[in-house]
Amino acid sequence: MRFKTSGPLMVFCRLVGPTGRVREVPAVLEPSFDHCIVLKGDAVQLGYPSVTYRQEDWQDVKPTEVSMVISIKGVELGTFINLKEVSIGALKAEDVSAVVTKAEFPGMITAAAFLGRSFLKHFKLEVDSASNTFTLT
Amino acid sequence: MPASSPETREATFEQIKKEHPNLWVAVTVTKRDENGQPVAGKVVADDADRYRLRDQIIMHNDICIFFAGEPLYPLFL
Amino acid sequence: MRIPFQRFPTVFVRLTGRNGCLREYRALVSPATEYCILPKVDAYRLGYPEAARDEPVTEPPNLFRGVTFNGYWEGMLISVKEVAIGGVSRTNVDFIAFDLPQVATFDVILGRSFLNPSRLAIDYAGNEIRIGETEEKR
Repeated sequence: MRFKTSGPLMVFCRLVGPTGRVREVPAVLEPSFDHCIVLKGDAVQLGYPSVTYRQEDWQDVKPTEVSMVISIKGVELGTFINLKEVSIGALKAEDVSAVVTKAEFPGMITAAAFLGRSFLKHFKLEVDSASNTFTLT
Repeated sequence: MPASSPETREATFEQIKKEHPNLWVAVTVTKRDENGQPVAGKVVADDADRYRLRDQIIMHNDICIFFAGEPLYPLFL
Repeated sequence: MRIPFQRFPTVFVRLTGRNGCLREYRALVSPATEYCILPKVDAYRLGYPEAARDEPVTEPPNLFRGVTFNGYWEGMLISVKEVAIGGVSRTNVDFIAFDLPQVATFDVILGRSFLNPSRLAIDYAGNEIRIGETEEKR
């Protein structure tokens, strides 16, 4: 699948939760991210109520679902969820791990999700900046 | 590793990662592959802190610096 | 140029500074990142004193503000004389002098300011990065 880009590698992707609910959101492809990142509100609506708890509290209940994550701004806690399915068009991946962090995305960011290695590892990503396109196969 | 006793033994980068685990390492590269990627070198200094390592290599004009290990936590850079 | 990787797409990149000093780093390849990133101490060592923000009152002209998923960050924009990965070399590449957290284990990120106008392929199944010149450049 080939997409046009003016800079960020943005696509629309469909996130499916355990209850079968679907959210189709703009997402940025981030090859340098270990996992995907989704908004807390979307995670709750998709059927992951654990993200509503403070990470420090949920860590005591389910320590395997909370871990430190490293970002450009430092280290913080994140709650891990397993998205039932993530798809971009016909390209689908199941059981994709994603993180929900404390802070909401800054207003400048128009994407509602970041797709990292936990999704991209199923595919091959090619970026051709001369023609301003990227291909996911 | 004190700066006053530099290693002179050439080692592959895999060996360097095993011998200096989870440390920032400064290496003078002695061998490269067909892509120009370093494959072997001599360790000049190592340190757990990236800034202290820079103090030890300040006199080097051509040096390779990397972390001999993996991030402890998931990365979102 | 095909370069294997294990967990993250990484390459060793050589930076030549304004003063001729050379530094080589294991860099994270990130086509989603607009600019390349380099530690402030290394930018200074490579001959870019403007990487240090020593004037707390006036905003310097090369101050750069970036946004990431968990907030905003600031760095100083510099232009590194030469950046090379093997045979692929670029001059006057825009870098942001910014200290990534040490626990991230990477000092340098290669973004689009270096990767354009190359053709980049990240093959996760084959654990390989392919960097090449675009058709026009060939």
